[in-house]
Amino acid sequence: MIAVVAFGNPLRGDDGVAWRVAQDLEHSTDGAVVLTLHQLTPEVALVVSQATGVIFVDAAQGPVPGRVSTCGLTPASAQSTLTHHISPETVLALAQRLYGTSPRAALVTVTAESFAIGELLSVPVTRAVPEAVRAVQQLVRTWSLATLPEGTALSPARIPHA
Amino acid sequence: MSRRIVIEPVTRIEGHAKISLYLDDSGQVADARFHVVEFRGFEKFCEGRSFREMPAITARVCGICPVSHLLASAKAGDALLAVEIPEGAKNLRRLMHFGQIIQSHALSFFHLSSPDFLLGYDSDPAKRNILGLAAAHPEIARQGIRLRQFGQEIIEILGGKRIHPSWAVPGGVTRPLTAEGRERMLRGLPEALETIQRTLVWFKQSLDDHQDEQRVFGNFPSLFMGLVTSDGGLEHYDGNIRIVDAAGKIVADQLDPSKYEEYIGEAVEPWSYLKFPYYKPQGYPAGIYRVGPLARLNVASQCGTPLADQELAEFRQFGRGAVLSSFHFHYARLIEILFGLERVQQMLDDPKILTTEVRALARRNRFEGVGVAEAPRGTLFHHYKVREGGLITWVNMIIATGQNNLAMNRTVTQIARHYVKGEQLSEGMLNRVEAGIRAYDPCLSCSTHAAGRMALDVTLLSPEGAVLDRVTRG
Repeated sequence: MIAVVAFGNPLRGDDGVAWRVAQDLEHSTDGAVVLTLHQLTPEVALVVSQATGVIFVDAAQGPVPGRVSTCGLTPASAQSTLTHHISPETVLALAQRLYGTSPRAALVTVTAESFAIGELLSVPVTRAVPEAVRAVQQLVRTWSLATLPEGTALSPARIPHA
Repeated sequence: MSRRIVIEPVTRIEGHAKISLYLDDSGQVADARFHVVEFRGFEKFCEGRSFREMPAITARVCGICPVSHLLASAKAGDALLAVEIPEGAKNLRRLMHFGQIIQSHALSFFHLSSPDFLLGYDSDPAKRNILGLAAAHPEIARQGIRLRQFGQEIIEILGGKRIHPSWAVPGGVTRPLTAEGRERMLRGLPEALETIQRTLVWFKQSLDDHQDEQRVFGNFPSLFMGLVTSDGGLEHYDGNIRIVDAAGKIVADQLDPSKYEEYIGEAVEPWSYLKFPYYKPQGYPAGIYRVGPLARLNVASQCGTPLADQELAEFRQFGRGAVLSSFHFHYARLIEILFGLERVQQMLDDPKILTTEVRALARRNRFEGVGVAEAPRGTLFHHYKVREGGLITWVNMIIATGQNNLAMNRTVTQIARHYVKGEQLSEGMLNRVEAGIRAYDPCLSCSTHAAGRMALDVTLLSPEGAVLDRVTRG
């Protein structure tokens, strides 16, 4: 099972981009379980530990709003914190320590323009949503193929358009 | 001239906290200010929306306590409809709220604060966190996750999803509990009860190791406020307001929560966006009060369940009257989890929990409504004004973290006075300031959490503004 973990605050403008990406993925991506969360908390580690791959989707800061980036993730240590949120790397490390496994993982981000209060995405981020969806689908497809036994025939429905 | 130490966890946008410690000329801490950038813009955002949408909208304020906002908002909607909602709806809302209390307290205790207790306040901050806990005490970390999951499962079974459920609406709830859902909840109860009882045992045994922290983590006289039942029992969903003083004496009782403006004032300070609520009859800042688990156990005459009442009797040994140290917020959280689990059991054992009479239908009958519930962190007020047609014209939300603002400032001052020595920042001081704030479990999570946020930044400044010392974490 490949897990897509989309997180962010949908009431804070572009921070909700992952929710929009998740919404589109739910209608178009077979072979993956899509979770939509406000923020990452420790129990996500349990879900992650049961997956063969996990793709986190989030907003990011940066100079070019609407830019879609993909990077690999590895488990990493946490810092003492005052907030309830933990990072994707910490979720992976937690899965490894508590459940003995941490799957391959990637982070797909869309650079935000505005985090102002509101339910709408900015224009550049809205335009970037299809690209972010494709980036996630590409990873799902690649990782699904890698985990399938040799000779398995794929129906067209199992291969999302890239 | 005073000197200032700044402790600033810098997130990329609103929602961050900053701590300034003011030293006097002799190098002693004179004052402390804990600044939280408030989410005030949210209230403006709600204007023009229908009050019927408000539970679903406000539930999205926060990923940790969405149910508290959902319920306070739905109750404000009940008031606008001017209906008495069916008993079955009240019970189901209450059941979901216990799920909320359990999951939120479990996150606070097991994953945010237990690294302090189990690994020590002076341990390496790189290890004194959830991963350090997972390495040193994996079973406790897993139990915390399982307990939190149990609370979330209650929310999910009732609301259809574990975050942002739009199940509670003005007039009741949108669907009843099914027999299958009831069975699923019952299946998880024994393990949850075992976990919390085991946790209470080790936590109480560890208290001797934290005597210093009990003494200086917000150990001062104040008022305490919370909802109570008509006979003064522990209450989280309904009831009226009770206020007690440091001696445990009842100062005010059975106050109508919808008339909060008569007894709660909100002061403003130029150095913080966060308001400073206080008990009006005692003025500002003398009317400082605390809310949340510690306050609820201080105001309640009894819990009303057998195991929680036994624990409450032990808990009360830590105070002469009210239990004053904010360190004991942690202890109170555990007792509230136990109480919540007992009440969940009682409610599920009652066949009436499966009633299908769960919603009163009505049109808007009032132009103003207040809804109040005890969120995990304390009393939460939602106050709406609407116009003909039900569109919101004005919103006021008083959140628990705001009501504990004065107390958090005083807590940081007390800790800093005890631990700041000279002109260098020590890890020990920083760890304890963080932990002192964590005792209140302030909700800073209404901000965004996208990739790229920064961590804790502590700067020590001379009277002339020169940087004497700086510590950055993360």
